[in-house]
Amino acid sequence: MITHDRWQRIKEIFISAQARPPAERSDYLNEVCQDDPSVREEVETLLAADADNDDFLSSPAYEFVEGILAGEPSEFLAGQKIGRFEILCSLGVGGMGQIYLAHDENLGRKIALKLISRDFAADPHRVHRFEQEARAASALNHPNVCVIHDVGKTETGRHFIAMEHIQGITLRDQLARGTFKPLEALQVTLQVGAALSSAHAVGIVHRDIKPENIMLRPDGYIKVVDFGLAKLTEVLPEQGTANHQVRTDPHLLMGTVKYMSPEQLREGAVDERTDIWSLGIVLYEMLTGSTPFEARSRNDSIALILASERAELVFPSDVPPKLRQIVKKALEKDCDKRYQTVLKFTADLAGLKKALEHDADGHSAIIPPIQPSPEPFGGSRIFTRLKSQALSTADSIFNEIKTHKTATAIFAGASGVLAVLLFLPVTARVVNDFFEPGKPSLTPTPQVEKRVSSWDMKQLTTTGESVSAAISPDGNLVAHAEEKNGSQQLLVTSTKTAGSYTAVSPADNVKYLGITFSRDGQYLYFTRSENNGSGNLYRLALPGNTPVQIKGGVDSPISLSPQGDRFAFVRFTRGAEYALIVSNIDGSNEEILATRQNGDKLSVYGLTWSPDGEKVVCPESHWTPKFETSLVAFNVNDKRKEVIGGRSWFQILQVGWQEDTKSFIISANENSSSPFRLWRIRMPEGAVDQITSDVAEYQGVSIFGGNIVTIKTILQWRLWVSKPPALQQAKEITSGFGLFGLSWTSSGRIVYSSMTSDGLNISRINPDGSDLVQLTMGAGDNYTPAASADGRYIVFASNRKGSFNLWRMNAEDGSDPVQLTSTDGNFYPSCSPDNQWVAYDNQTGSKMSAWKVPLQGGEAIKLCEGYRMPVFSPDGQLIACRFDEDSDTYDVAIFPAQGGEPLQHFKAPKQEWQSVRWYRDSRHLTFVRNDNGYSNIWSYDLDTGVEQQLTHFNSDQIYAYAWSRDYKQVACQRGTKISDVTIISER
Amino acid sequence: MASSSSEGITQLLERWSNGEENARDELVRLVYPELHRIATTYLRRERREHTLQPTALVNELFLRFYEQNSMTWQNRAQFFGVAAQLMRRILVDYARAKNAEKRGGDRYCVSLTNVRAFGDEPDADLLALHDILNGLAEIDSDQARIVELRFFGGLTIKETAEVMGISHATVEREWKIAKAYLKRELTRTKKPS
Repeated sequence: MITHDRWQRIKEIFISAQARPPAERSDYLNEVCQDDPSVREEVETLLAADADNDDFLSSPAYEFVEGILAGEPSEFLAGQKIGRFEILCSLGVGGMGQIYLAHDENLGRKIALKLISRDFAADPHRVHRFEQEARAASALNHPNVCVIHDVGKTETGRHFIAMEHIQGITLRDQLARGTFKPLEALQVTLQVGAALSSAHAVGIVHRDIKPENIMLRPDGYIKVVDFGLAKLTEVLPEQGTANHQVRTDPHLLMGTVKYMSPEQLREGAVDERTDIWSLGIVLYEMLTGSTPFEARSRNDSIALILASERAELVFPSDVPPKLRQIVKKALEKDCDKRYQTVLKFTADLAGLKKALEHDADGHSAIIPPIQPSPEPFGGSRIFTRLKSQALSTADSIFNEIKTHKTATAIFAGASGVLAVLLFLPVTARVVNDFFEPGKPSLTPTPQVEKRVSSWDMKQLTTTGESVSAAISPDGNLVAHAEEKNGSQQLLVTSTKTAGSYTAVSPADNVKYLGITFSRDGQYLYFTRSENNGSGNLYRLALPGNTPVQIKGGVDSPISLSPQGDRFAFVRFTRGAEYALIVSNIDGSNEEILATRQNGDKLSVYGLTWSPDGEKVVCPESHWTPKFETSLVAFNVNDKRKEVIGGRSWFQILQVGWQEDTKSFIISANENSSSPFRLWRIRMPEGAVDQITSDVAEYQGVSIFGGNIVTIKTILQWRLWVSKPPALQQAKEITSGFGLFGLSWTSSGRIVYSSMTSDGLNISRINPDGSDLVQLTMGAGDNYTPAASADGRYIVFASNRKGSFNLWRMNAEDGSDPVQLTSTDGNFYPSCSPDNQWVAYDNQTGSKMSAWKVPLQGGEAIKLCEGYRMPVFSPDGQLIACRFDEDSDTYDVAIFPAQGGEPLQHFKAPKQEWQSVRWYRDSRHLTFVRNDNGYSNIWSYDLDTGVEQQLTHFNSDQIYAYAWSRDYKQVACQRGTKISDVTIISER
Repeated sequence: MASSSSEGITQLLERWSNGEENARDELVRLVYPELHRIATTYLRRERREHTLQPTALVNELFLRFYEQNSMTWQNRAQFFGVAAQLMRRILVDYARAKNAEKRGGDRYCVSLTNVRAFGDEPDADLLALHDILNGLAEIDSDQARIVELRFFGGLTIKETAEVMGISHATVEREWKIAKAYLKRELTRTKKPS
């Protein structure tokens, strides 16, 4: 045992030795310890321990108590049942108790279950407070607020809160990855502000706004959680001091100090200005990476916050002065000088955001050629988006047709995507002039009166991932399916408040095909396909319970008979047969009204039962002589068919009956390259009004009175060109909409097709963004350009003479167009390296095939059947084609260019926009692969089968890409599809 | 907040600062249950944050008493002194319970290089540290106190100096030696198994 005195001596020697350079210490110790070698040993071992002390005890004991807690097993285990909840897994520990992911039997869905610890519940005051908090929070109904489904006590007496389970990360997690760009920070702040103002409107102050309580979902949607600490603001009608104590103890101090306002620290009593302060701190932290009252200890922070001096705010240089002012105003220590309402705060932020986006647009239009791109792959680091799958059936041809059209359906305006994402209900106004009807096909031309209609448009959802939607018979609710982290779920949203809840929780490998409310609004019917199988029909008792499966083999949305006792649907079987079927409401007593096969189709996207109960109206498509679709009524009693209206469309997806106007509303496109728009066919005369005329797609028709609920999809793209040698350093050179097809000429230019005022046209541009020249004009739609090997010609598909055929023009100026094919349905040309041939896709008739035609004109030769999108290899010896399988991959086959059986196959991921290109030599191919919701280009080695990722984009989809002739550069058309539920009504 | 605690906290702190040791015991009796309760809640709650604020808990505790007992900022330093000791007790009790649960009460020491990465057995290490600190208190009580304030109380050097009424430099020097000592002793208790 060391004595006190001895220890003092050891300390002294240690300090002296420690102050000397290490090399001198030994001599020093020899000198001072010669009388006592054990002291020397003590000091030496201490010095050794000191030398590698690094961060020993550098963090306080709390931290490893945290470690002890982490090792503590959850109170409940997976599979265990607590009352009506089945525990699935632990989500962690929150205030008041453990949080679990659980299945709620009553609600029939997964929820986050906060079980209040018995410790906590032992105090009746706290339980009371807890109940009050939970009640307050459950009253909130806003898309940016985490929903509280239920508050209560289990049979075993455990208090619980059942909350919306949010998949995503906290803002804290995101902050750990770095600061935010001003625009990104604004996006987050605006959504949190929206949540707060909805709470403030009903007298609830959050009181604990901090990054831990802000969740970022992968779709860019923000959810504010833990309104658990919110308390009802004191409502003091008169002096009302008695009320003061009733709510919660006003002196309980909560929340993390760094985010607490001076008045919160000082007085405990807070109002909405405290939330403004805290949000201001969060905004500052997003911009700078730290909070303004950062100090070495918590009490130093408190002192700084309580001090009268203003915060010293230091911003990175990219934060605009206006934003600095806004933050300053939010962080006024005197709450009377601060923003007085969140609405005022967010109004300033929104105004700034608009200005920034505007600047960004103007900026990119002027500077791109010289300005090095600060963020090589653009897009947002945070808001990665997941692509919503195309409407799903095994109907591959329809999907392909849809691919054509979605690629050309688009949105103008560069900032549109985020604007739509972040501004809650958006009202747009669309004014349509009289629509000129197309050529009559099956019945005589109807009398069309000139008519001007105008429509209001209101966006209901903001996630951009909506798939399918329906409105309730009373117009109060909209049910919609939406994609969430690759899983689809069913939500019910109030049309009045835009607040929503999850009615059927997300499930993997599930695709919603259609949603229909029962006639009395008590039930929701939905069809969905599971694991790519055929569709199943379910019924869900509202507001939400376990869905009951009614019937299998239902591949379309259903339409109920006027009495609600029967329903109609379409079944698609593997033999490519479509059957229109009616059955009793319980799924029994099927009766087939019609069947179609051999390429003729009945729409699997939506039909309608007529109000008189006599007919079921369904879109029907034919290949005679070319593909077209018309609206057909099938008599339920005698099965007779009758074509409705005076014209046909290329494709009609859905039809709904609007009783108020005695009209059919359809979602249809006029040709394969135009977007799906909404049209109204007025009965009985058959006059047609065009409802939408913008570049967005409108799919789905659910009607309540004069309102049409639909899914509006916009698609924005930007053209990126990589800078050699690294494919990773890409630069945006142009943007727009309707781009479909991209090629790189031997003279080093990029040719592409995009939407212009008069349709799809082909332009050329230099890889640095200069010298943009439009090559086609006023001659129908022109797309899928391919440059000839010698650089003289551009071969492309055009419908300038009515049907889609291949044409050739001079690459320099678009002059001298020559028609190469004449069968219709010809797309995707690829020119051979010897300048002799053009291979292409032939969609004439119901079967796909690949053909080739001489570049100079002449007779076309069939290469293979079943395959499409042929591409010549660089040596001209091989052709790669793609076969559309029903599974989740494409079979890519390598054929000899001369024709014959395939030499080799490989599997490419099946997805929209897939295109296979040769790479470097005739032994490598490239393809697009989607991971985590965004796409990249991969190469495939035909000899070894090795796949390698070539690009490293971390956002957006790739719609098209092309390699430079030396394969050192790639041009990519990238963008994002945003689909939201939109309500359209006539003014 | 237990109403019984509202009486006399300030007075007790003053009595304690005047050298009345039993005032400290009284303080502990008053403050401990509340601290224990919020410690448990707080530690659980704060686990959602990636970086735990060292003095967060004690501050919260202090602020509660501060609000209700009209304490002054001068009382704060003393209060932290009490709280650090309490924290040590709470944490050690916690670790002891965990350790007993797992090991049937056997002491079991494990390798460790620093506390931040206390390894698989943070509870065992914490208990070992607690014992060594008791030993240190016998030969150098001031130094042990510094460790208690710094490590268990989460106080900064400056705050520690304030609480102990000694110079900043002294705290720094003593803390350095104490760490070397504790580390050496912890390493020595390690028995290769």
